[in-house]
Amino acid sequence: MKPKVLILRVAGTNCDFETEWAFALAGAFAEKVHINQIIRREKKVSDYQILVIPGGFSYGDDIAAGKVLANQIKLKLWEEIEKFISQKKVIVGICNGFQVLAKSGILPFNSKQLITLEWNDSGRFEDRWVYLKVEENVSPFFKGLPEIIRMPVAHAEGKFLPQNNKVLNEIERNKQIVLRYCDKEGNLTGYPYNPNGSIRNIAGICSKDGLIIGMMPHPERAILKYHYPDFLKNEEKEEFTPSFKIFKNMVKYFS
Amino acid sequence: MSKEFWIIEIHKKKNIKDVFGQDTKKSIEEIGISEIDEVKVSNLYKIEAKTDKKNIERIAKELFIDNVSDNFSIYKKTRTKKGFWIVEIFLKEGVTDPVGETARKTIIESKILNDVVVKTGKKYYIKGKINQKQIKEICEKILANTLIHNYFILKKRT
Repeated sequence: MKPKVLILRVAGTNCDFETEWAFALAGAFAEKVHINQIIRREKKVSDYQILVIPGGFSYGDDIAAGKVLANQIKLKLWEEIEKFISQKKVIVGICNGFQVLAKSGILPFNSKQLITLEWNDSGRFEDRWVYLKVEENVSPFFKGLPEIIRMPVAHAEGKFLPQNNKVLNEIERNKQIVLRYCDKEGNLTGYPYNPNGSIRNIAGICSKDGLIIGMMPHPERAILKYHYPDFLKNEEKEEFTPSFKIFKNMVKYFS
Repeated sequence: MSKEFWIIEIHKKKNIKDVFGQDTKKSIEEIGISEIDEVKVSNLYKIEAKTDKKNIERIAKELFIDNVSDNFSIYKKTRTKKGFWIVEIFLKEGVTDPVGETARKTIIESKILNDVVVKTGKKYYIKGKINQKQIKEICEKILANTLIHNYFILKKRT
């Protein structure tokens, strides 16, 4: 089956085109849908298998990054989202989308808010390529990826913070951490490799069943080898990057 | 019930790094005022509505704060703080406040209130051996753009 992907747009979304392209390339039917189309009942979340909250600056990051869209999801779409999750469908939050999933409580346990993405320790917008360690995790979407991959980050509020150590340890124990910032050799080190000061270098997590994923780096901006900033220097044999495999895995999950 | 003003102040929890506070301290030092011990920054939401404190608390808790990293307080009049100069910055009358407008819309969507005006601002707590002249200089060179902002200084309480 060719899964249908809903790419949720609101005012300030800006990674919807790349995300749509990546899913289409991976073999899905991807469609950008504005939140008002869902609120007006012109589109139904239940008609799709994958829901993506893409990167961007939803509602200008007013109040706090992702906060207004998280409020909107809780106020207007909660019933549909709960049903979507209970049907074991897939939700993906990239960058601003991860902030939304964290602030609405959908990640890590679909409960009240237990984690956040705080202001980067540097106090600046960090926009560059990072190395990421793919952790042993419960998500089916990171299978077959090399241990260390590269993706760009572009955020000001990306410092992963749990409410307390109990939450953090539970996420780790459940193997819900999918990506950690690292150096070229895979060592978990500090700035600039960890671009925001995330606790235990966490860059991305998933739900207990691995079907909801949230990450600060942008896999949709690292699909072809030509996307790497140093592709002329490196002799990459593969046309597609490991990040593309995440999209392929999601499509395969429904095939 | 007549319309009243309430202020929601949102600040970082004690264990959370106040990056804006640190940045502001650095900027103040860069203009040659070096005896600054600490700067803390809060976000302010001035709510004008016919309502009670309970609803204002709901707005803060349910719509504005980050449960993991933020705390909030609600008041009608700013109080002084021992050892700190306080500066409040708000947009001048007539200047568009897009964050305030987003905040207003999210309140209306939540149905907590249906008639409300929100104005946003910043509050700076500045600790250090500085005088009134220096705090004015900090306001005009660092904290406010006097073309569009009004600033209010509350003297340090000793």
